[in-house]
Amino acid sequence: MRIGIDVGGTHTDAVLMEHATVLASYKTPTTPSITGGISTALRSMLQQTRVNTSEIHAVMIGTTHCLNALIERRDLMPVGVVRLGLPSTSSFPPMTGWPSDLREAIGNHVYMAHGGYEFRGRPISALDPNELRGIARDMRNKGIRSVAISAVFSPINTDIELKAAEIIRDELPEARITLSHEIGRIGLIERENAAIINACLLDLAHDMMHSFQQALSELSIQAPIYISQNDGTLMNDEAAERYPVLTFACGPTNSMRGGAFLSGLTDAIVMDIGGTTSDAGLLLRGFPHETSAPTEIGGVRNNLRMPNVYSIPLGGGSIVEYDGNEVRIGPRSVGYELTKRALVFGGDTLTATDIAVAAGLADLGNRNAVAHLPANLVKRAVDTIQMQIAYAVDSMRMSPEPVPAIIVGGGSILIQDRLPGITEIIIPDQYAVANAIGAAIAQMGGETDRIFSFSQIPREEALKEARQEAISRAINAGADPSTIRVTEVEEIPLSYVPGNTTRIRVKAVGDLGRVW
Amino acid sequence: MRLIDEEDIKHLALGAALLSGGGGGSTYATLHQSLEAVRRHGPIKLLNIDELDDDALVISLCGMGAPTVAIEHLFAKDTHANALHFLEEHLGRKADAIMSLEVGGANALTPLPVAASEGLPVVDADAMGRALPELQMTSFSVYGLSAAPMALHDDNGNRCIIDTVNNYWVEQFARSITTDMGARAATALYPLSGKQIKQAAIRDTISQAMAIGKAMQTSHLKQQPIRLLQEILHGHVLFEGKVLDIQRYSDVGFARGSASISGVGPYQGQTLELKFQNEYLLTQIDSKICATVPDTIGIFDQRSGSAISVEELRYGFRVTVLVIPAPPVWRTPEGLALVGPRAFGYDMEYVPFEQQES
Repeated sequence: MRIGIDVGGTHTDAVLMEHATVLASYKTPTTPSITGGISTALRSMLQQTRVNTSEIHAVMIGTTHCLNALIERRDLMPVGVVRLGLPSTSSFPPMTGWPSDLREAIGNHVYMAHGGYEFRGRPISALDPNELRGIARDMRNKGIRSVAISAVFSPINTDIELKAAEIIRDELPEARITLSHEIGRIGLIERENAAIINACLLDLAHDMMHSFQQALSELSIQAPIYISQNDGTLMNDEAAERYPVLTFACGPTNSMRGGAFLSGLTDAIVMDIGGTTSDAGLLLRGFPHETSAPTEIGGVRNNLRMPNVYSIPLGGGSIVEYDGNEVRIGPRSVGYELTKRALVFGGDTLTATDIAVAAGLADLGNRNAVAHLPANLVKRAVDTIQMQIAYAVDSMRMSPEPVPAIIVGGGSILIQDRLPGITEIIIPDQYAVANAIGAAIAQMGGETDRIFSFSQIPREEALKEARQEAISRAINAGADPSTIRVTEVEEIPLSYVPGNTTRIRVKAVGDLGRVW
Repeated sequence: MRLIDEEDIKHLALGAALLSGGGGGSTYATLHQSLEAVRRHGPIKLLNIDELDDDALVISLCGMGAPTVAIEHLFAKDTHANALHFLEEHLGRKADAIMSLEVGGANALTPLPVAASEGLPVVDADAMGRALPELQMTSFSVYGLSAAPMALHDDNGNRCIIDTVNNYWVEQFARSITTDMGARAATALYPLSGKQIKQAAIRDTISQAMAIGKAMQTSHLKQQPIRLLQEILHGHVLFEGKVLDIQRYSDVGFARGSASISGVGPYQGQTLELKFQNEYLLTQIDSKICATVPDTIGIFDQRSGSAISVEELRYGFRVTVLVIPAPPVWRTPEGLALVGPRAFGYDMEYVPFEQQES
């Protein structure tokens, strides 16, 4: 049996699953302490089902705790930033273009050193051990305990970042070191930024994992903990302490994957309708379609793989305004105060939920409280809601062929039974805890992203090598080899470079061994 | 003459991306380098072409390499200044002003950090009016002006002067050497007189790009980015749709490819085929040609109005295809010989998109 938990901004959801069956689920408000909601949910589920805790083989947790800390600039560690690339790259020192409050929060400890590679793997300059030792000693004097190392083109040859880490560790044995090639892909600035962000969250990630472990052992659950990643796969506890940055977008990913699981579909649009906003995403072969362009998080440009999500400011708590002529819905929302402020719950604010009740789409609270709303208003508001949702859903479609849409999240009541261009609308039974289910069913993955020159290595061999590398990374992460499949292969020829030079990216995933 | 400050630079970066027609590389690094340079050295002088002395020496600066390499192998601080100085040394004369060869993409900003640190003015002009993939594809070539002698410089200090019989050979040599330099080189080229610049450069393109970027950020039409783009780029909407299939293949060192875009709204039921190399080159709707190089074909995100580069183009993007008329110099027989459809391997006559049947 497995437990899946999603710690969201307002609610903590949990499910207990055996194979494909949800044995129990629980929804509780998120508490200021990260584990409060988790303990409440787990205790309740264990009582409900009387399951023996020794039967629980894994606990999967999705949380945006680390992302929130970055955005709020709290609990961040000072980071020593070391870039290998001199004499190149000095036109753009590390952390250029960062918000100044974040630079201050993690110190301004930037070092540029020799090293790095050209695009075909030739060194830009030799690594200089003495230079690195000097940097390490300077960091020691400053009391730095977390170091981020990046090198030009490290995704095509990881040696130099590994070697630099070894030298720095020699001088600074207690330091925790984040290597850029372990986190990001081609694109030095964005990959380096992701590594720095990761490095500043290490203490927090450590404390978080410790709290999780404590909460579980208080309930006598001995099972290993896994943490949800942005791409819908899992990290074990050790990896989660090392790569907190990979958890940032697990919320939408988990609800999409949970929706897919509940509906039995692998290719569909998933619409997660919340209280304030709604997110539409596309599932391809069971995984979220990802963005390829750099994005910004907490004001920092990065190239972390994130689910491609189209968000609209519309949810169950959206405030509805009507001037007798035009209807406006959102972006303002009553949010978590829905059950106090909405008309049907005895409040004085007209919300999208009230419209759904007035239109007969849902039966919630006191229906009489919305009986006075003009029919004209209700009709227009319903039309506006459907139009906005239909547009968001349509934006995620990849082909003119009709696709099914899976609706999850608490705001699912806003949806009528049809949307234009959508073959079928599926609102699964357990739509409200789809994200916890998404966490519970996640798999282990491995990825590779490298540049090959087909004039040096034939294309077929290069593809084989890349696939093999992704597969062995998935196995190293804990995937059961018998279940591994390659989920993505991407080839991007490089322009202006002779020799048929191509970037190949491969991703493989497999089930966690023995947790079903 | 006017002074360029930080705001102007941000506007220029945005405008340069919008004018790029899918190529030219990301402006992110050159933008921040330029901002940093202005913070350190103060504002940069932007000279109108008419303010140049006829006998002034003007040198163009241009980063060379591949966009995919550029996002990884960032330049050393002084490489472009070094290229300029090397060419000056070779010529035995200091430049009076510098300029950008290519207003589309990253190279629109390449001269700015050098201008700031060396105290040189930048000429309000370029030689492409958009982004183009090769060094001989300039309005200067149309007027028979030579790109050589040209200086090529890498971050390690390797450098050379290229002198050739014509601009085609400049491109050939420079491309090979740049590849040996790690597909990353700074170039200083087209050493020309003020008189030649007045005759052959495409004027006012830097201030136009700035105005475009500024409008995108401040206009009251901001909420309707596509309408705004149409106005400020003098562009015509060719198509609206969703990117479906993308094919990419490598062909003699250039990444080529095609995409199909399935129509939405008024274009429902139609399909636009898009051919690209480093830039978008050709479009046809239901097999009928509707726009080709040298007119600039821009692909814009429908929601934000941001330009989508060839590298960024992906399945599922919802886009508007805009055509921007080519500068007059590109529509001359000499211009078309350099950058018309045939220069990119398409065996067809150029027809200005306004005159295409569809």
